[in-house]
Amino acid sequence: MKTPNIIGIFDNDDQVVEAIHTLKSKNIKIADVHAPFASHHILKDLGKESRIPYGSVLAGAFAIVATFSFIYWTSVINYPIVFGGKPNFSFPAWVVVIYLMTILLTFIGTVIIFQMRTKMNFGKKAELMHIDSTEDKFVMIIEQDADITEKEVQNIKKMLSDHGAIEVRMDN
Amino acid sequence: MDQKFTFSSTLKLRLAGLIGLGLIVTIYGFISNPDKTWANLLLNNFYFLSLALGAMFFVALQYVTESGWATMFKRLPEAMSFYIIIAGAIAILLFFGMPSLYEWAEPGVTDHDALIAHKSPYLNVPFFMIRLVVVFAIWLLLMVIMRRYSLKEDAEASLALFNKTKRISMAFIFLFVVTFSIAAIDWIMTIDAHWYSTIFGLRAIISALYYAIAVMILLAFFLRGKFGIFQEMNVAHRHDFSRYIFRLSIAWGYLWFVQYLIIWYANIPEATTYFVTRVNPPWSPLFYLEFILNWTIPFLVTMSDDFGRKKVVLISMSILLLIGFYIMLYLQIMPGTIGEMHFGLIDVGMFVGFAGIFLYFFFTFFSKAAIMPVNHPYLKESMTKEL
Amino acid sequence: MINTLVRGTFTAREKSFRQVTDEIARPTYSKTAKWWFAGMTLATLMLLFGLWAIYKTITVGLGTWGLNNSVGWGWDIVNFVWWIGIGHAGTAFTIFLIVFRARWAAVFNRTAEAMTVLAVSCAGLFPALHLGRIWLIFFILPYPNTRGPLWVNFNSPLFWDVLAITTYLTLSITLWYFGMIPDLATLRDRSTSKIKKALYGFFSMGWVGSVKNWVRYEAMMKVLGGLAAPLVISVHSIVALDFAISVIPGWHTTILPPYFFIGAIFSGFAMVLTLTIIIRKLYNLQDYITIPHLESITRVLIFGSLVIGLAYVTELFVAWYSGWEFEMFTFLKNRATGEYSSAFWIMVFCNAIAPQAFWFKRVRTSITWMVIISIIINIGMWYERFIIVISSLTHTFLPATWTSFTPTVVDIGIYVGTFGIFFTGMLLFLRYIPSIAMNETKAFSKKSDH
Repeated sequence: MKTPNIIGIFDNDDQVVEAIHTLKSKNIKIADVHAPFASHHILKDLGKESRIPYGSVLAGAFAIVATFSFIYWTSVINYPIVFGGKPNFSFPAWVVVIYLMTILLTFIGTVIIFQMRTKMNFGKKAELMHIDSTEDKFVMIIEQDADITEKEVQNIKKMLSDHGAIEVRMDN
Repeated sequence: MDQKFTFSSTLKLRLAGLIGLGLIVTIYGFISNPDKTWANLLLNNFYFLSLALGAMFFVALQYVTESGWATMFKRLPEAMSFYIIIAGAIAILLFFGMPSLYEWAEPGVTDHDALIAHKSPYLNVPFFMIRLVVVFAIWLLLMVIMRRYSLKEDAEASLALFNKTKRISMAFIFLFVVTFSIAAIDWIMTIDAHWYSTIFGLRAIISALYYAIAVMILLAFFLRGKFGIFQEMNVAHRHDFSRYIFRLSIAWGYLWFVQYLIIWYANIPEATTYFVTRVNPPWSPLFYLEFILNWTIPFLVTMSDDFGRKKVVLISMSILLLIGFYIMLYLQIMPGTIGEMHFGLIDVGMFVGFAGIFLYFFFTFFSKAAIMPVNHPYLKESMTKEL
Repeated sequence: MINTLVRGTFTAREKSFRQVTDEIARPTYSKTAKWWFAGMTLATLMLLFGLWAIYKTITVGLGTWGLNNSVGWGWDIVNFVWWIGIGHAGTAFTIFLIVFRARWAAVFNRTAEAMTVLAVSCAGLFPALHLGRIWLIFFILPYPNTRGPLWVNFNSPLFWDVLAITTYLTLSITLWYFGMIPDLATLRDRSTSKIKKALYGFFSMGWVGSVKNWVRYEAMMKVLGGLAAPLVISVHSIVALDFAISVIPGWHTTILPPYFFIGAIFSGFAMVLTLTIIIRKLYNLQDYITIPHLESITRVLIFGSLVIGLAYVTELFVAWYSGWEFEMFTFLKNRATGEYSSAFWIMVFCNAIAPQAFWFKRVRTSITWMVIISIIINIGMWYERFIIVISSLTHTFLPATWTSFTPTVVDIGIYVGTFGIFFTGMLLFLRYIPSIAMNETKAFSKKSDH
């Protein structure tokens, strides 16, 4: 059986930031914070970074190569046809198509990576910790290690309330 | 805070050496190859004038968009803009070289060239000189006003001056766009008197801002490394510089490509000849190099935030950009004036001389005011900027 | 050192997070207003007129339009370019918000993005109908076929257009939708009705606001915003290339792409100004969309107007400077003094002169004047496209082919119909989705963050 998580509910993101600092200095790992908006202080202090942009660059590189090869194959190799006296290999004109396809495929690639990483999808059930966490409450979730003592749990709870948590509880 | 920069005599001597070298080469050039010397004079003067005006444009943009990150560097573009004085003098000097630079200014050309005869109400020497004097008068006036407000602000802390500068900046941006379009069309585009492109002025405007920022980056790092000023420059400022380069590289590449594509595609003889000359030897290497240096490298390098804001990257990219700017102007001016590619002593020597004058003026006026605009309302924000 | 607040402040008064949600999301949970039904009726009538016109076009053919041998591109292309231009504002706001982090863009972003999606859909309708046999539209896709395989012409700006509009529509729908997800989650958690809960729940993709997801979300939005910037420049440039790469006098000019792009932003911002003023009034959002916000838009409009005025002058000048008789005829005779001179000067007045009134603070802060001038701009921008398309086509190289152009009732019907689509869509959007991004408003309301 998984040990229950410690949940602290906050009213204000400044309090959350302070709580994060204290908990971090005590080497307590914070599993997650639920926030109604992207508070850059929380994001920065939790030190999380996304690798999604790297995926986008890969998608873009793929798009350039794929589009160029496809146009080259159709216009020069497979069915070379002269349009309005322009050479078959009309690179300046292709640049536009390659450009647009790069944007389109990079874009689609990025969205797909995002969906995969966040496992979000239409109709997915929301696992809410607090009904107002999408409105005005901040939820801090701390996972317990298996060997944590009751005293340490009480300590964390106290720390949370000291930093202004309006509610502290245990939850799965 | 309100410390000043001292323009040391060793630096003075070195820059004077550069200027002297340039002067000797120019004199030698006038004796051995006057056509080429005139063309170089125009090129280098326009090159550094673009930097000076681009710097002023940058300051005005910061005011109009209410952005504060660059406030601590404000004295850099301000001092850069003083080159306009010299540029005006040299531009008037170009009067004597006009027949060798501009086909339309040769006496008697209207008799056998119907197209130039048609254009002669605009393209004639007196009107050309009037326009030249007017645009310089406007730039000098605005430069003096902006500098005066800036210095006055150092003495008295008042928001009124800030608001006044903001209004002047709006006026400057509009006037700059109009006058610099005229200038670029007059001085560069009419070299190929039969050719025309409506986008020409816009390209010159974007280029001025683009390369002026490259120079600002180099100067900021130089001053920080050699003299220890701008210690507050941190990763956030480098980030903003690299963002500017990134966005302007897109703008530059866009305008370049659009002009080329439209002319290449429609293939109208009068327009296409311009590019036919340039994509064929001996100019073709420069044609491709121009695009690589001015768009490909800066774009790829600054695409990643983390990589683009490294000091080494910024410095080397800016140097490449300045080479790219030279090539851009070289391709715009040389095929139509001297018609053959002989890059040699005259070109290098004169560029060095002009760089010397530009830097000499820069350091002179940079040392005349406090390094930081001490009473500027955004200064604190600029100095404590975080990512 | 001056430490006072120098920049204009945008918030009318401090709001708690709950107040923000309550006030912005009010239309989604309160009773439907009367004006809404009235507007919907009108929009539906317009839509029906448009449907009739489309039916005529498809069953009878393009003969029902005002096109003739010389004018192959008529109202449809004028309206197409006009709608695309209107659409550009939404993406521009997104870029201001995501890439430049400009606070003032946050309140307009959501509505403007909705406008983009609808305007681009309206725009796409015109070239599609112009095909005549709309059921063969898939011929434009490069797929292996039995005709050779004859691939599509990748050198054709018309193909670029298709690709650009498709990409643009995909991107703006996604940006708009992903921008809404956190707000949809808020609505899901607030809704009491079961149907609403299920629907908002379905579309909010299980969003709970976990910081891990916020980080990824921000990273993705930054990439998408970064992609939108070059895309939005390219879309209208490609529309301009449809004209500019030809050899038709009046069309072949290198400044056309940037000039079209600025024009698009200009007309789009004018439309946003008109609509947000109305929405602000109807939904009592004066505390969120303040006068300084609207002033920011007027500043962009002044700038756009100056650039466009400059482009007009440049074009006239270079037409003369080129010495090419056809070019001179088109600009100086046909447009400025000839058959289309009234349209030409309306265009110049509406786009280059009227918006200059915004230099005066009195005009810039008056709601009435803002509405009037923004509508003038939209009319002017329509005339601009009309001038470009029609005046060049009616008088080309051969005087024997000279003609004039009159729209038919079907032409007008389709144009009115697109307004029907636009307004129906906007009204539905305003009824069910908060018109201002609530999560962005909350983030920007925190002083500590900025």
